[in-house]
Amino acid sequence: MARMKFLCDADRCIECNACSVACKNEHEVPWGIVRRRVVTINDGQPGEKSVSIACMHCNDAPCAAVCPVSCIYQTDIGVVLHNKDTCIGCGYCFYACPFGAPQYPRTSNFGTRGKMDKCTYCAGGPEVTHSEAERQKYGKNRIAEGKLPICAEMCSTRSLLAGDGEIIAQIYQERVARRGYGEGAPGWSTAYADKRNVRS
Amino acid sequence: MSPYRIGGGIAALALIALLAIVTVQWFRHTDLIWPTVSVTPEAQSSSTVGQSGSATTSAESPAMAILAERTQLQVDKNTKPPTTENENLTFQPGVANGESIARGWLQSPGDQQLLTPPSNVAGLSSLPYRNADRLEQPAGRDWRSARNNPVRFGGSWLIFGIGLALALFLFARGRIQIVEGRSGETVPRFNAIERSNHWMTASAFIIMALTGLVVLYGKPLLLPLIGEQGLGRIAWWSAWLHVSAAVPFVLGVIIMVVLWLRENLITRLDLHWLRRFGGFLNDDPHKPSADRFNAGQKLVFWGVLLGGLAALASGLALMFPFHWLGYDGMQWAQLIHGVIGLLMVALIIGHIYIGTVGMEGAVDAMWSGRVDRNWAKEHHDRWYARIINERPRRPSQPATPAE
Repeated sequence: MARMKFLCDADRCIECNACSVACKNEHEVPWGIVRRRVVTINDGQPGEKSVSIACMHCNDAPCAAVCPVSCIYQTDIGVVLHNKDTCIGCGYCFYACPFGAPQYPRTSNFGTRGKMDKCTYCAGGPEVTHSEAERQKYGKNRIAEGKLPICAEMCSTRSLLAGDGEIIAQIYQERVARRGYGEGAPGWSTAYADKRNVRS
Repeated sequence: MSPYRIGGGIAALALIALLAIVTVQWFRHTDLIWPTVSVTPEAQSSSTVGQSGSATTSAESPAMAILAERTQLQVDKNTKPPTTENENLTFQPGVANGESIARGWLQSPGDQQLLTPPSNVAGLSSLPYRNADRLEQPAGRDWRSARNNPVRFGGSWLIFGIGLALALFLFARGRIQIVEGRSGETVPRFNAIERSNHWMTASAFIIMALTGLVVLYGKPLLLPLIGEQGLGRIAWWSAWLHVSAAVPFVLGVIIMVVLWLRENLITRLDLHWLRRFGGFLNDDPHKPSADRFNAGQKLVFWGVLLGGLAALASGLALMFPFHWLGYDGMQWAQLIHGVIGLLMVALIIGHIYIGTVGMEGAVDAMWSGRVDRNWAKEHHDRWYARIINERPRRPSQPATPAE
């Protein structure tokens, strides 16, 4: 069934970090919080790869399953959103998240972190669409304008793809067929697959 | 039949029903997250892109067509111009067939070639933040199912199970009476320091137990009653109270160690006491010998001390996340903290039962600090003999600690 996904083509990522910067700028994300980041694997060695990673908006999202106050929910296009008014900053979603996506502002001592913040797939939050409250808490709502996340739309090498999962999978597979190599979509088995479907 | 036995029988029936409910819920529990909020075009007819998109199934969001169209822009070497902006999408609560959508996502076909086995991947990040270099930790899903299934349902089983065992015991045995009846004369058992410290620790423990249960069981139990906003507010206070109450609790346990550790060392008397189950099963006035604390009380003491230490260690780790533990460590700390907490709640339920409903005359020891002579003779014969010899003529004076 169709749903929104992210796919990072690690063979194309040049670690320019523009996705992180664009995200920060678009949503005016505060200091200390990174909704999207680039991780380099095998840095300085043969086979070095960079992957842009953020919330993958998983199927059966583990963060939503462990949230003790049920503030995390998933929309029918597969986007995982949360309600900052309800969040208690317990940090459980960070323990459950396979991708380190949830972020917490440091507001006080003793583990009482501030309200969680994470990638919204540029889909805002539970506030009224395009309202000032939504913009301040969650950032811009591009999905409601019919646009895709800014990080993917401005990726200069089209390494980061966003949108309908089946279409971006097809784009990626055609690329792999054309250039003759590709190591699979990072994180997809963890985020979207039934464990039975994973190629071993 | 005494009212205590009738009460025990009723409580047992209620607890059997609760255990049955928990068991059924455990088997029916799927834990699958399914969508709750929809993005739909306000007026689908006005959206040209929406119409041109492939026919969507009824379970699929109409917004998908518009966004899928936009996705096509990322096709390589595309020459298409950007689409006109769609201003027609608004949020609407409620999704039909939420579960079937979520199940459809789970069995997403066609991606098999993209999937590699999940693995723990760490790299290098230019960001100065902790854990920013971790690309993937699939263990998060394991922690989630451990917390949501064995710990949550096992914990409710444990608590209701202990309750059921106690209710059945009360039903079968009734309240444990002072066999020789109350003598009317009392002897001092716990002094003011011991009692106030006990109640400080007890109230701190009850606060921590209730607030901890809110965090573990708030979603299934409170959410349907008070809604998401109410639960959020209660859970926020719970998180703060839980952390704050740890201070008096730890202080109280330290004072208990100072006051009572020597009298709680395990001796051979305790084996004998445990083998006869404290003589609780019959009305024989010759109960197994015990000094100031019997084996049951020692069990509570050591359970609170060791459990408290484990809860403190894991709780400190949770209070300072990732300061000295990694992902695995944090996940284990949370699980250990939860399990220890649930075990201590079960232990304290037993402690409260035997100190109040379960035994005549027991609550006086911690409430007024003075116990009936016959109660002391029956349950703590050695201690009783000792204090009678130590201060035979002045039983009304409060006793100093045995040290």
